[in-house]
Amino acid sequence: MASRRNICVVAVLGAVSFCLARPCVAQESRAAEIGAKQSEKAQQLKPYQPNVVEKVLLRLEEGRLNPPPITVSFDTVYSGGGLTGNVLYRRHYGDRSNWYGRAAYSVKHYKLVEVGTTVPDLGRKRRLTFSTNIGWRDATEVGFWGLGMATTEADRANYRFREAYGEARADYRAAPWLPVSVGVTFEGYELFSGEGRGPSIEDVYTPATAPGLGDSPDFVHSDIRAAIDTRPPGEYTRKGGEYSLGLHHYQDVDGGTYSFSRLEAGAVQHIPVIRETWVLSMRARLRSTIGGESQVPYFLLPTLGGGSSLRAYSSWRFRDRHAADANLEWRWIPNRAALDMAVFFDAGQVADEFNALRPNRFATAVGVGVRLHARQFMVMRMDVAHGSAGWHLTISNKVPF
Amino acid sequence: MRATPWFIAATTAAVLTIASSHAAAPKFYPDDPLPREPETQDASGAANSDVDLFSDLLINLFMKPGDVTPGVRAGNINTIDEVPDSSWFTNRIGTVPLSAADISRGANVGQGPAPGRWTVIGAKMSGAAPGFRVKDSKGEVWFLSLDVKRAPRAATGAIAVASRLYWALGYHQVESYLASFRPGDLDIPETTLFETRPGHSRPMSPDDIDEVLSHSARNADGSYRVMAARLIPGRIVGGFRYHGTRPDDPNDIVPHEHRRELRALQVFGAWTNFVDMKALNTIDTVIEENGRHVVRHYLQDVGSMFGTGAYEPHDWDQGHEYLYEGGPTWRRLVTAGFYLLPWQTKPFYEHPELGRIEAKGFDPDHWKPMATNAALRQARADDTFWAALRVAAFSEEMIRAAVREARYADPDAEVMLTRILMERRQVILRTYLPRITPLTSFALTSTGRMTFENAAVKYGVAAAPAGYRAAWFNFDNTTQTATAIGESASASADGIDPPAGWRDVQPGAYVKISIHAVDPSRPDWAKPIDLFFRRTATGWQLVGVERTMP
Repeated sequence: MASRRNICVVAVLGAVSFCLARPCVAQESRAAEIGAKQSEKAQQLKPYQPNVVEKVLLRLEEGRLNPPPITVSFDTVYSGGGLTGNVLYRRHYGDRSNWYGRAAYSVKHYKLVEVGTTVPDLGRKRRLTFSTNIGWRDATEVGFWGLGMATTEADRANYRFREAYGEARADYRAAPWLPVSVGVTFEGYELFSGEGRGPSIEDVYTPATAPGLGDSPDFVHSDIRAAIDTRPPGEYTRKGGEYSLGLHHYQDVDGGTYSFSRLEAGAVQHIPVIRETWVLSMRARLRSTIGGESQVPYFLLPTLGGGSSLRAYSSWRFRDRHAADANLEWRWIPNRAALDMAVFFDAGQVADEFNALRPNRFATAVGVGVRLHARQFMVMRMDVAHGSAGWHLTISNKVPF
Repeated sequence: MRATPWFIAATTAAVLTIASSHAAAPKFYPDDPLPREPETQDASGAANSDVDLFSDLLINLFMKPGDVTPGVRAGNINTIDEVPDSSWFTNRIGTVPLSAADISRGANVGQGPAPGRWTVIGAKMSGAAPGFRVKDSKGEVWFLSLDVKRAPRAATGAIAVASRLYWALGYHQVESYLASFRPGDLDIPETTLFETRPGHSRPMSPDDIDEVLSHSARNADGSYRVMAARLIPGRIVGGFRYHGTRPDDPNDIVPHEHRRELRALQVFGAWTNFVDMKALNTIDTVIEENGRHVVRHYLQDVGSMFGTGAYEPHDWDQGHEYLYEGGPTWRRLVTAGFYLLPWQTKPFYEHPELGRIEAKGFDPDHWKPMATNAALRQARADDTFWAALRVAAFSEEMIRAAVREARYADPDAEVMLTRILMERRQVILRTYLPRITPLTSFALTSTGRMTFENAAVKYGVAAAPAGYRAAWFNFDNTTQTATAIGESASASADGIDPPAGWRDVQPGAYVKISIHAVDPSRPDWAKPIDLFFRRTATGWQLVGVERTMP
């Protein structure tokens, strides 16, 4: 019995002494000491395992590099439609071509379905992109306040339109700074009474005050646009400029009553100040209906208002045959990789005669904006603007200009 | 309970086992100081593990990976406070004689691509610069990178210079040669695939080459200048992070944030404006060395240096701010941008071949890559002192030799970059050498006189102190106890004599000397350096250097 107990004691002491002594096993040399640690690690080798944070980030990165065929976004159906959910299905073919199908629905019941394809890198120098799409949209409560600037918020009425469209477009870069775009679109409109709060357009306006009211014309819309563009690639930029000229012709295919042409000119310039500590961004635009005889239906007149023109006013707030507007932004850049702030001043006017456009008649807005951006695109823009109609908030994932 | 003979014997044995195991750990082993870090285990099982750019960036910007304990001494240094050679690092400048010709040659031990026709075998898989992979007429694989059209010779020139400087500093570098070719010199076999988008490849066509070349700078004679990087030997297993260890490499036992040569990149990076310091710009490769597989670590893409990146000049804030810093971001936000940092107003050198780099006001303490890392955060004053000594070892002739290899078209570019590097070198020395007691090159003569150098004084960045004081001890290496001999003093850095009680000792014995400088204007220099010398049959060998941090 005693012998067995002694054996146990010896065993326990031996084990304890071995364990205590093991971390300090005497080595003959520094190399052996290091070698012992390496030998110990050799018993525990395993492949690299990302931690939870890395796994999440890797998943996000994988999604960015290899987006799934079906994605969800918040692109708008038609300006003023409110928060919109989009489901986009995209499938690639060829080198970088793709076709897609898109369905969207907004809180104001705006709807859109569209399928299309884009084929880039055509031609010897791969400077031509061809795209085409067909679609249908339903905008249920588009605002109409009458023509000209002498309208009030109380003048608002709504109209609804459904549009079936099919477009073919070619974009060509004659030089990296010289983009040219040519497009032909069939646009078939059906106009209805407006929904939402406020009266419908036919209850307030007549064909005399809302040209084309009661008609639903179809158009073949052709356009050409050329620009001198010195901005860096990508939507978001802090330098460079774009000077563009475009011509649009709408051919009424139901007899030509509403055929018209429009000239569009634009200038954008970003001027960095003190190494992009600040950026002065400016834009001026003119949209002018050509000829005084043509009838332009009210829903195709040039407009002002919304998140990228007169930002204190609702989308489509001002309409008439001619429109001119200018935007001035003083941007400062808390973080060059991701965050811009801006104070801005917007001004604009619509008029039935070109000669009636006068800066002293411009409606104005001032505001401040916060922009989260990536290197080349806007992630989220939030602009708060104030004008004669009060305050207006814009939330968008597009640059203002 | 009565103690039995069994119990007494077992207890005694256990006590002796524990005691002997502790007592047997001396401070210095016979092989100290190690000239080379041992790699005793076979690392052939290391597997490819790509570092993801996005997650690596965010983790380093917004988290603090690795050991966050402040003030941890570097873990891979030997007992004399030096970095032994390893699969990470090879002692070159400041340690072994190097000539300007050596630096001109750098890591290039062979020749560039063999003349003749080159066969395109694929697109370039790493780095931001446009390019592709080719096999030369001898079948050797090269990675070609070109300059963008608006910055001829800038990116390739930066690689040429930086790879030589970093080779001299001790890092493994890819062999890189400037070469040129004409589009007609390229063959594209049908088997060469071109990835047009993720997951989709097709046979490469001449148009694909033309597409790359259309964005690239062309020489006046119609050829294209390229930096041809030789395929790294071994099996590539991804890159290394600046924290932790590779879990699949048995020899990688020191967390990377505690490797001095990685901490030293705070100094070397500042000197060369290495703003794109990230794991993705490193490469680990498994090679066979002395019959064993080990993982060798490369600083692989050193092109985003000095004043240029692969595509364009550095932004003004690069080298001055991380991609995200909370403090400046909020201050600029609330002051409408009127909170200005020095980079927004200080003068910059600008040159088409060099890009953009500050001219005056370089401050290495505040130099920042785009995203920091754990190794830079852990750098201590002894690490930056060690690094500054290596920068100090570059002569103007050596720097000019490296810069000349960029073959800039404008002679002013060569002059300017040399001058910039010399100016920044001087600021590095002025910043880091005087920060701790700057004594180096210790030796003990047979008479007991200890010689040393004051590096800050030697390189003209500090005035000589009033003198030096040393406390001398006999040191028992086994018990690690020091017995005072006495103190002595000297007015100059030529040397310091032993105290009166000094007696020579038998081989195998040790002395410890604690030395510091006497200079009331520099209190940090009063922090002693503990030196340990071992008596050998022929003299005294320095076996220990322990610097006290300020």
